[in-house]
Amino acid sequence: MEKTSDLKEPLAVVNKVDSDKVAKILVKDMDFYYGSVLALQKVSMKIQPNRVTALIGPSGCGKSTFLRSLNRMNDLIDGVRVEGEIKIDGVDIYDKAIDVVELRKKIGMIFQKSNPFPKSIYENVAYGPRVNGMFKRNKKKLDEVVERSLKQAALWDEVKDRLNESALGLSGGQQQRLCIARAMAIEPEILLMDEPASALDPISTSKIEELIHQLKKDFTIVIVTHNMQQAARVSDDTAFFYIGKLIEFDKTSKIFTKPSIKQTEDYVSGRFG
Amino acid sequence: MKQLFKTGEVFIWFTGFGLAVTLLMISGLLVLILLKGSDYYYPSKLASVSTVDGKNYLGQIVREESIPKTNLPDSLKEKGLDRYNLKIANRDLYGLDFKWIEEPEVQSITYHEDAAVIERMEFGNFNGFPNKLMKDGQTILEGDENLESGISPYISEITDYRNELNRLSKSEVGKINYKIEQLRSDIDKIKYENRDDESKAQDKINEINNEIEELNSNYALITHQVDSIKHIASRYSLFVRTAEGDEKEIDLLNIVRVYYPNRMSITQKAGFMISKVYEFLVEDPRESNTEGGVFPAIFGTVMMVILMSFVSVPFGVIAALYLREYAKQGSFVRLVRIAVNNLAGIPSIVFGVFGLGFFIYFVGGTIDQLFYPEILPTPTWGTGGILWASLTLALLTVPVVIVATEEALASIPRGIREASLALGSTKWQTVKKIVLPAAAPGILTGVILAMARGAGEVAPLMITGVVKLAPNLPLDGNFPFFHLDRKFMHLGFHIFDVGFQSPNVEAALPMVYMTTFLLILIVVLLNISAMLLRNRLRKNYKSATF
Repeated sequence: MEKTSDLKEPLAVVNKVDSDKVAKILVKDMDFYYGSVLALQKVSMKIQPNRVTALIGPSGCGKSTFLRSLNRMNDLIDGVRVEGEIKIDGVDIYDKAIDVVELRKKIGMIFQKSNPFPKSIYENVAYGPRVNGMFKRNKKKLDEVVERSLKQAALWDEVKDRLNESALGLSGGQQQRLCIARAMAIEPEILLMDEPASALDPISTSKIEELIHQLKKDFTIVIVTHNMQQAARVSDDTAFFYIGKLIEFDKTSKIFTKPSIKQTEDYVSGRFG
Repeated sequence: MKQLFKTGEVFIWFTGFGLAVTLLMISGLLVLILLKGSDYYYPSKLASVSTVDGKNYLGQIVREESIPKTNLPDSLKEKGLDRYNLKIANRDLYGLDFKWIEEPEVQSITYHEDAAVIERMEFGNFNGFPNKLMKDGQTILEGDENLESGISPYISEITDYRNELNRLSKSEVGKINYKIEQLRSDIDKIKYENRDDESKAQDKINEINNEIEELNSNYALITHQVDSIKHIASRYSLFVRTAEGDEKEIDLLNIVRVYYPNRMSITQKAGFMISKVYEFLVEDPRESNTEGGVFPAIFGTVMMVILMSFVSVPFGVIAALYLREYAKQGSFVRLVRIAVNNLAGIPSIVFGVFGLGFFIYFVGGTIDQLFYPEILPTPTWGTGGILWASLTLALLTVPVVIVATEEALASIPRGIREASLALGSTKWQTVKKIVLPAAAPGILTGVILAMARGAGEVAPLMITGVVKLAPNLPLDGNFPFFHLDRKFMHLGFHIFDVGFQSPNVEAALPMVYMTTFLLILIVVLLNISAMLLRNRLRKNYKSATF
């Protein structure tokens, strides 16, 4: 048990995920600025391998910003600044020597809105391996990777006969699973999911959730969600963000049954948010 | 009433009305142009008009109108007065192709079956009654019926001769001339290089002179061939009676075709029109562009547009890519963008003047000084040519491509860019593999607009290389095949030239309409082909359906 008591401002923070295990992602005293606006303040967190970590909180609380800092997607926005440390496997990813492209190969990302490329289903999945120069002269190996990824994303049976058709002809849920398959084709270690099921119907949502369960054994998953039930169903650990601060980070069962902090309880019980 | 305004119904009617008027205007214009143009190809009947004062005319009535009453003497004001415009042709006899005849002067109008129109290589058409065909002073065909049925083999024989003559004098003689020109400029070059001591170069010069001699003797051979063909061909001549009753001898070599419009059936007329349209599309112009075809102008227009696209499309796309994807968005980029947008609105003649000053005088002049100093002051590149005209038009159209491409790039959703980057691809890979293909339909729209604008532009061409009549196409069989320094013909300029600069404007009028129609058609065809391409691309990128 470790309390992050080294925070300069004594916030009402409880951070209680087991820390004797190795952290896959270690965040320490992270501040995040959009220009001069402070969007995240003193966030510290240990995310463990092969677990699903859910980030919850009301809109604008900074959970998506936090997620996008983990693979430096925020770099694309002008005027952002990160202070503090984010280490993945012990390496500071905001170090000047880090190649962002290499970093992103290790981290797959699934977005809120499914965003397949306007290409065929096969090409969508093969895109990652291709741009990364994997299996350059090995079509058979590439085929295998595509098949494996699609199977992992539980999409293979539905699309195996139309791999060369446009990905845009798939349904919304299929498109999102295709995006998951695409992210897995580069064989990442971490999967970041930004509200992956928010635009989907209940059946597609349950498929995705089932998928998250299965993927847990191979990947470290961080998922942002608005849906409290979903967080409760899929995650092992849950972090509650509120107005740019990490309020509470604990086992999911703990957060949803007896949270230590009043704000967390109010939020998960639906009193605000 | 208030309700009516509230729902905006009135404005919907208004917009609908606006659209209807616009469509009506456009289709009206097209129909008018087509009708006026096809008039030229329709073999209208030949009327024999005899007048009160005993004169006879033979020609097509091209217009019938009443003289404005204000222009008439008082005695006639009430009744009015009609007049006919008769295309009497026979320019070599009458001097004018057209004659106005007032209605009271007309005694009778009859349509004789045996009246024929004889199209000639020179002096325009001849209207008359063919009498007999002679060869070496001996009659081989005589009488109206024999002539009509029997003349076509002779005409086609003569056409073969003429084509052969054309081939010899254009392509064969052209080749020799081209070579001699090259050799002469070689001599100039050698002389220029050894200008301090000419004796050194004398051997080489002699050698080249020998080559020229050889070519000249070839040339003499061809001239001899030409002469002998001409001699054979000129043995035939057609005797035609005019409306006045005089007999006129016309060399068969000078005759393109003979037809009897008064006894043509509908199918014959249709066939005639098709052959005329064909001629219009594939032949060279004759008689200072008022007759024949416009092939060199079609070729020049299309080649110029293609050359232009080769320059403006890559540059426009690259510039837009930089502006949108790589440049740091700020006040400077905004300024550049405003400048580009304004550039699209600058009058084209300004670009023409710039092209003349920069491309022709500066770039072309410099090339001449560096590589062709021996033939100065005769310019090689320092004068108008298809390359300079195309580059000028490329400048004119590049803003269109930039603006369209930028918009297309901006419309690519952020989501797929981020997805690509999140998969570990670099910015360049994302641009190349995701953004550009997805933006291709939008970029093509810009290309279409640019091509349409470029094809229709005339003003800047007039000072950068277009001519009334270009002796050679800018693409031919002589090495290096593309002669980008050559001047060229252009449909837009052709319209201006034939319509307003021609010595025989009235006769050329249908040609103006046809050329206009053709220019519109080419622009439309370019657009349609690009649109088909765009739609094919767009099919691959159709938006998601849930």
